[in-house]
Amino acid sequence: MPLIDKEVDTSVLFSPEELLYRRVNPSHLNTNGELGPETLNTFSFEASIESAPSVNRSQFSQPEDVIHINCACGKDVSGYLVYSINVVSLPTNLEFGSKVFRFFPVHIPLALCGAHSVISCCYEADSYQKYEKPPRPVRNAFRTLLATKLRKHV
Amino acid sequence: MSSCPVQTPTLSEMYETTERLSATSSRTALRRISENTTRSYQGSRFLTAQNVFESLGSKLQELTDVPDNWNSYESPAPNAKAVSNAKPILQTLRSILLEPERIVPSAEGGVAFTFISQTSNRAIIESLNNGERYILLYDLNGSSKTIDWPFEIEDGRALVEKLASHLRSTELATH
Repeated sequence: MPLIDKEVDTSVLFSPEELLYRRVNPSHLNTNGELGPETLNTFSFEASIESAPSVNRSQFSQPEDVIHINCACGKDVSGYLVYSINVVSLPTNLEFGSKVFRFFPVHIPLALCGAHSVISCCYEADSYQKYEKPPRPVRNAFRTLLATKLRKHV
Repeated sequence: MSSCPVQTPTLSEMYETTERLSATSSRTALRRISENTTRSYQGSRFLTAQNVFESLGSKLQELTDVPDNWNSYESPAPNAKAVSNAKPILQTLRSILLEPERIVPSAEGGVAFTFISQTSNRAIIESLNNGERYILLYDLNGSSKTIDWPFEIEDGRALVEKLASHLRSTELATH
């Protein structure tokens, strides 16, 4: 059973080796069984951090929690696969023109899914880490790198 | 009265002649069959490809029936604009018979044509709900390049040929 929002501590920092879990519908893999960038949303819906790609952090969850109905807003995702990536392996420092974009996880618990987090983005030089919606080529580079780095969790 | 001796061909000569004639007519027949088969093969290949693209056109239209949150990560369903903007892309692919592996909803909100190959190079073409259209060339090492879909039909065709070349190559396509 996934932890709820009151059972987690958002002040706990992400460790480099901490895993981030994401669910994948097996029918969304291509005919080679690969995860493509078309399966990953980035930041296109609106310029807010909540629309960034969702993951569950392993500090407060088991791998199977990400395919629990409570972590999928009531949708039955029990047949989905679990993929994971280390925090340190997240794509980062992607350049566009003179700007460099840095990607990092942010813990944003949901009421019934305390481990819920998103992968956020800011200018590399911004010490306040203010959320920035990156331009399309950076978003696509990020999606591609994430899709090729996510590994099926056994 | 003398008579010219009749030159009766030997059995082996008759066999050779028959063989030659038979071989010649066989070769002609085989060539004709081969030509007909090639024409028929090319014709049926063309027809098969056309059928495939007819089917892909139907598949594209069906994407308007996909519900919101289809991937459980709150991605919006492809809207009419995304589908409508994807139709000329499909037409361009059809013009050079470059068949996508699949046509699927994009997690970005819209439609995606996906392409795979024998090499590590891959590609997608996305037509998004907000009107964005682009080709994303990438490989399994994570290198990528985004190229906006052009307004001119001929430029679109050139871009699709570039995509086809990327899929055949082992290097990431460059501008």
